[in-house]
Amino acid sequence: MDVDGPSKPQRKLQPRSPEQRFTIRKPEWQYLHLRMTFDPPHPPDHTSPSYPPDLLTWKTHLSTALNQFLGISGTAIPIDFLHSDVSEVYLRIPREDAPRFMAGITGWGEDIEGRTVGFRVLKSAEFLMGIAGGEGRDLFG
Amino acid sequence: MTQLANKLAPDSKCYVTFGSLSSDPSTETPPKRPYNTIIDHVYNQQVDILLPNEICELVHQKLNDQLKPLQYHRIFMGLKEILEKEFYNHYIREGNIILLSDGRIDVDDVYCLYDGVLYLFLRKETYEKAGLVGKKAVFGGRKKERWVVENDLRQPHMLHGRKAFDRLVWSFTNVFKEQKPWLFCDLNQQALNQSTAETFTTLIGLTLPSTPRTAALTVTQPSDPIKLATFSHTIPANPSTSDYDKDVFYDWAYCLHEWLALTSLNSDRLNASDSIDPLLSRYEPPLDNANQQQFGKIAKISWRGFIPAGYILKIFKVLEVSVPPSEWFVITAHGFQNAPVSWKGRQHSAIGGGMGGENLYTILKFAREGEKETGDVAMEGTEEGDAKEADAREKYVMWEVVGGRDEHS
Repeated sequence: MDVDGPSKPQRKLQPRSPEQRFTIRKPEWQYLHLRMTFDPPHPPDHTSPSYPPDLLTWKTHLSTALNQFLGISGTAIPIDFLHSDVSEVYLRIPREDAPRFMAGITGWGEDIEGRTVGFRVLKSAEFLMGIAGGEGRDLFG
Repeated sequence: MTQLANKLAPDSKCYVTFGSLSSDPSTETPPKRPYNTIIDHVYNQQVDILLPNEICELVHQKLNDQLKPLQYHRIFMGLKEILEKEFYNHYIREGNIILLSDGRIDVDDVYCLYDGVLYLFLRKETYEKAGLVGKKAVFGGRKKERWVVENDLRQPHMLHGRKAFDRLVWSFTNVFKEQKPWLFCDLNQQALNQSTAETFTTLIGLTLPSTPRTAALTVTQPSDPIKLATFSHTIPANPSTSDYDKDVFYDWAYCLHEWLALTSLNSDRLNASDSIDPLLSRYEPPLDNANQQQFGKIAKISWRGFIPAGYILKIFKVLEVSVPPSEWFVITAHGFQNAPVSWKGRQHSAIGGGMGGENLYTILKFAREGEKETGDVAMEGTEEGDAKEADAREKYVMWEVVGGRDEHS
């Protein structure tokens, strides 16, 4: 993580309320909001042992995709699953690995139980709060 | 590979500020952080408050008592409609509104208006046809060629019949024919300005139909406690603080912000009973070295809609007064990722329809030390001379996250 020191020297005028300000750049993690896509899609309220996918299924599919594209160095990218919601997950990976990771998973697709399984990156940000809120375009609808 | 990284998401930044709130929230808002950060953030689409569940009822009631529901409109219109005499005089010249048009900021033409100034962020092709004078936009989009046309509609010469004005009318009638969805918020409404007589659901002087909407607050009270993070930290208060201490503080600020985001997502990882295998996640909330994991219930109050900054300042003021000094609260405001302006006068852009376009801020007001038995906040490292005086005021930490294509600093 690169950090710039306080951008302004403390002002003499307000010695009693020092304001500290600094900048975080290039933080440790990259956060992704992913969806697992199925083609043909599952019916709306479908549940089965393999749907919605659990985290182990996620891990397996992601590893397969990364292995195919990047080999063993791809499977070595550590993934922390932070939250899951039906067929979507929030996860974090080391920031430096993000471009390889995204390139690896977005090009992948495999036939599993008669459906083509793939991934879609819904959002990606260097600060988790950046993907915790909406983007706002739905309000125009 | 680096090139690819830049293309996917330009480097975001997070500005962290640590300071004291104004000592008396009832007085005039001082023109300093965090207040001016709130006021200048023009277009907000989501506001979330997090606070301890015990004070949620109290705060909710205070918010209901002191705030009227905010009304905004969705309109499907062209640029020409803005200049219709009655609408123009009532809302733009005499009144005060904010407007934002739909579109992807890197590829479409996007328009916005605040403080009576209309900004058109245009593609090269549109700019060449528009017949209006503009400047090169700071962020060029994919083809690096975007233009911004700025018109202060409150200038004395911006009247029907004047040359400059008629040029706008001509351009909007003959070039900008496309109609698109807009969001509209009248800043002279009861929710923002008590002296306003009545809030109308229909818009004056607009021939097209508009859809009135209300940004109502929703309260999410948790059924189960979650894993808490420590709020205690050391402040690198003076230049003599070692680099190590600074790093510890920066790290704390980063990790706490992550935890706050997880809390607002209601993440599985914070579930008290969560015991996930380290193969799948190694996330742990930031803890004090000395303390064991603590648990607690955290409530969330949120708004979604086209929320002007003035409304958020009102929310913030209610929180300042109604949240007891011994408790903490957090407020986060998310901007529109495709808004051409993030903070006033700061151009903003994104790629791929919003990617890397986050512009948001989070303000955490600390619980005051010593007044709470559990003592969540243990502040160390403050200069002793300043400590007593400064302690009389509420401390806050603010995170401002902006994407790589943002002039805000």
